[in-house]
Amino acid sequence: MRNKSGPDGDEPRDEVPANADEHGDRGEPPESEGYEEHGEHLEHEVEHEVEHEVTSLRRLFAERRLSIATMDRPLRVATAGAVASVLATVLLLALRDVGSSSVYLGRSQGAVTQIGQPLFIAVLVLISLGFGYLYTAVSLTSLWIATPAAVVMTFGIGVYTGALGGIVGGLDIFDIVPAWVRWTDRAILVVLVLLCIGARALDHSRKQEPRTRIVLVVGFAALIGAYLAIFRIGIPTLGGLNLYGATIDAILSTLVFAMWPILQVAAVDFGEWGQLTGERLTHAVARGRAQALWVAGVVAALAMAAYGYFRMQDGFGAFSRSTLFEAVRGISLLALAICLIALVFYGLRLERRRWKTGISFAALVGATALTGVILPNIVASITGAFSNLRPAEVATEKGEYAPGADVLTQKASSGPTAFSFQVPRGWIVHNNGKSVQANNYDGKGGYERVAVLVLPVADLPTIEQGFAVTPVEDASFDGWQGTKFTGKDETEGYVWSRPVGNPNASGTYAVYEAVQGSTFKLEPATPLFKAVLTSFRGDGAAPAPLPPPEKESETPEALDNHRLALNVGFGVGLTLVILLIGLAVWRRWRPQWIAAGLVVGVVSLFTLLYNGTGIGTYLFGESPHLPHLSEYGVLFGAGILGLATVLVLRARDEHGTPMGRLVIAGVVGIEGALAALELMMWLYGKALSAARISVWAAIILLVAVVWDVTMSGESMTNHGTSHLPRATRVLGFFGYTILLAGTVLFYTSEKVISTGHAAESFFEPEDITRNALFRVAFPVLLLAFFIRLARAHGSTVPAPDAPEPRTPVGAAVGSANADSIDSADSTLAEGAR
Amino acid sequence: MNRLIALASVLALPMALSACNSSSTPSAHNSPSSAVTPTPTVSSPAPVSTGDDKQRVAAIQLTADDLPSGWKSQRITTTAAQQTKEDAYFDACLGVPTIETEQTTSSAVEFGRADGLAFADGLINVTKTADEAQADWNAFTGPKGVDCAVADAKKFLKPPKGDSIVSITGSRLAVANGQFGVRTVVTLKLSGGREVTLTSDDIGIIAKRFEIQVTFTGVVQPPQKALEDSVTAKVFARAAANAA
Repeated sequence: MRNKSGPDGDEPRDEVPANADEHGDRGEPPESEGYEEHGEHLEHEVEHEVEHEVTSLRRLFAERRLSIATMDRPLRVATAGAVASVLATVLLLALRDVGSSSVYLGRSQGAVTQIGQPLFIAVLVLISLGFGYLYTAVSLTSLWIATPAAVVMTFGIGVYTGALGGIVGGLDIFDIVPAWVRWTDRAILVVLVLLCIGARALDHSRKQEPRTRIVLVVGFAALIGAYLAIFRIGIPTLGGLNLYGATIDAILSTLVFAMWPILQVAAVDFGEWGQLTGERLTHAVARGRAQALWVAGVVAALAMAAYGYFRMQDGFGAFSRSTLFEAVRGISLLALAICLIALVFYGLRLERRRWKTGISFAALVGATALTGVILPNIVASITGAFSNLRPAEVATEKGEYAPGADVLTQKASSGPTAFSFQVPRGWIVHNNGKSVQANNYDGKGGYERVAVLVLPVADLPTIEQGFAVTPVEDASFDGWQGTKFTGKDETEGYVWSRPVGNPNASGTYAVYEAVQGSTFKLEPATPLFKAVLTSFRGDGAAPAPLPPPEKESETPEALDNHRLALNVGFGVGLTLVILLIGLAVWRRWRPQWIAAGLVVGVVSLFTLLYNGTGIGTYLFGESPHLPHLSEYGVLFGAGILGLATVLVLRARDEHGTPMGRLVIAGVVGIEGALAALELMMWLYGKALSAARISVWAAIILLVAVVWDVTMSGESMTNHGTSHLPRATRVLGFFGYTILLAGTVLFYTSEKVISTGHAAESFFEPEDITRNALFRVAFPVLLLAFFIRLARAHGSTVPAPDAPEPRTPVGAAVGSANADSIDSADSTLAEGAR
Repeated sequence: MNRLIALASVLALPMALSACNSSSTPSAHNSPSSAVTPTPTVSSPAPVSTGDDKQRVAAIQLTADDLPSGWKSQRITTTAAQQTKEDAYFDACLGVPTIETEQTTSSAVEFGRADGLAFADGLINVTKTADEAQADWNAFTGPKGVDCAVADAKKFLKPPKGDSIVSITGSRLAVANGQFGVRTVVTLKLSGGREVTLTSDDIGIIAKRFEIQVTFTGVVQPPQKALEDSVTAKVFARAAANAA
């Protein structure tokens, strides 16, 4: 699925793809060619598609890989820097438990988390470096791209670190840092934008322009690093609360959304390479013999069907009703899906479009961004997922700290009277070793206050007198005798006492809890005050354990189904709009836009099939009970339908024709792709079932991303345009990769403070990829198969509304020679980049 | 002072607030027999298998070593005459013979915490026969036990001059199997108008002919449960090892 055209379709610039010379012209037919000549070209294209089978994976790799040889030295250095960053991340993942000191990160996924300081510093370095690459990449583009991009990136950094809170609203952390920090950091942001915009002039003003790129990368990284370092120096720690780690968390949690599409595209990569491997193995076995080819097709399809059935019957019985039903369901629903795709494809005469390439990387990223990020967030917003957000509960009505409450343990006294208790993080604590006072100020003179001390033996009235309060009402809680009181200045609260229980000591523990001012009222504060008592441990006992993490709340099934239905509905609607625009309104749309729309459509279709029962229940109630497609149903169905396809071709004696061979190779490819997807499903399943995300799972992810980078040459990073020069593409992609590495490192190293265990990560990259294996990758590969058929069958005949194709940027302009590399990328999803 | 309920501390409430004193007067007699055996929770010291009842009592009795540092022995101020009077009243309430008529020996000790607001008393009576001890035990652990203890306190407790008794209440204490416990709470109103509680926990067992009782009294605060558990475990373990 690698596209030989740039994702933006810009005009080609001065840089040349590494393999351009060795690629012949593809031999696209002239625009004037009519339908009458279709037959001849069909024959040619089909031969062309079949010939790819003789091309080795090695040559395909050579074609697609990022070309280091054609890079100038600065780009090579930048490449080395990016590779080193990813390798260092892998090493750091292995060392993530090293280091005792930790950085507080705040509450995440219902738990208070931290990260080891060395890893946190490494993350900061990766962030700085990643943004250094990105800023440099942006700075090398044309002014109209550089300016808004620099402003948007800088604005994002400023907003998420609170630098602009006082100016544009929102997060306003800079209000609590010293003025010199505030203005120095803001100045750095301004310098970043100016340098980003001005660097282009600088870059073009020098003859030895490439050298400035490294300087720019280092310079931008240093500026970002300085920005973060100064912010760290300036941000105060109040009552054990330091928001620096949480701020970095906020930046990364936003970047996660940008990571989502490529992680889903990685799933397509897995399938595609499984498909390629299947096809090549088949070719190696068949060696051009039609008889062997259809036998290989039968074997591959049978094997997939057998595996699918074996997994289906596991635990249910080979011939149980449920197994047989699932098998029939798998075949039927998959056949229905394929028929629908074919209906849309051929019904809209899409096979007659100029499918010069497969589905481009940009189209895939755009479609997965739509289906994986944009639509789900719109649906979540519509269904109130964000409107119900509220601050986490600190204490329960029962008077205990709520699970996941962010509290700190305070200790005082010593020996048999030593005591401890917990107060929310951020309260200002004064501890003189004998007594502790903790205050939560509202900044307007009001406060919540808790004071705990140990006194000689005393009764409650004595303590009340000592605190100068007027008792109103007796109270008792959890072994504490107390009284509700009112005091001076509209203070109200409780005084509690409890004897020292250690036989080796005597005395009384006294607790004073009060609120004052308009912000804090006693009734709402009472659960928290009681939680302080519940967390109290006296008599020299060990402190109470910190509140456990909050249990993950499950979204109600009905709401899940509601959201799924909306997602599918929006996806299908969007597809229709795209097709309408592309086919009726703006006919000169590039086929890739149509492809992107189709990807959204097939992903929505398969989302509907996988969740048919739930969505049906949401739409129609319990009756009728709609069936859904299962993972093993897909495997079994694909095996049976593939087998049927091959046998029909054999029965009609078409297995030896070029088209027959193409279809059989496609069947084998699909089975190979499914095998690869199933393998990855198993691997990721193993990783996710582990108590903690295993190191190797993260490494697999990083390797997959590195693979994406490596394979980006043909489609993206081996060439450039005036607006997006090669350096921008390379540096941008590397910057993205480094940021992804930093994000992975950050979220896989996060630990829950109360348990010391790995946190339930906000960002589970392998989960994103795993979920895309069958929901995104498989339908995309199916769609690509139709596009491949279309290319072989009809793309040479321009549809009446087809636009004049532009020469693909960096395309391998090869000849129609059968052994050309250009002809090799006939995978089901050729040209994804 | 009755045999099983050491009201000494309670009777000494006024003094507890001032001089922190209390009294306890034992009565005595002995007799061999089998009896309920407490369940020791600590390792027992070397058993004393021979010797007379006084030696055995000495081996069992509460000592300063059983208590945390800072606790010191105190003089018992109750006179023999006072004690006899109280015993007669209490035993009559329970419906058992007066202890003086059936004991071979007795022993009472008292310790006070440094702050003068907590006390621990040890009282051992040895009856002539185990049956007598068992009869006493049955009466005390019966339905009258708590009421008689409260009635005894009400009759004999004399508050300091200017103070008054607001209330005296009793209840059973949750103690280990084989033990019996009574909590008596006396609320005093001091001359200044302030009310103070005095809580006395009596925990006892019988081991053959030996009636062993440890009383903890707390002024303002109830006695520490951990202290009670720790001390009674030691004393009752020695009783199990030495009673005959």
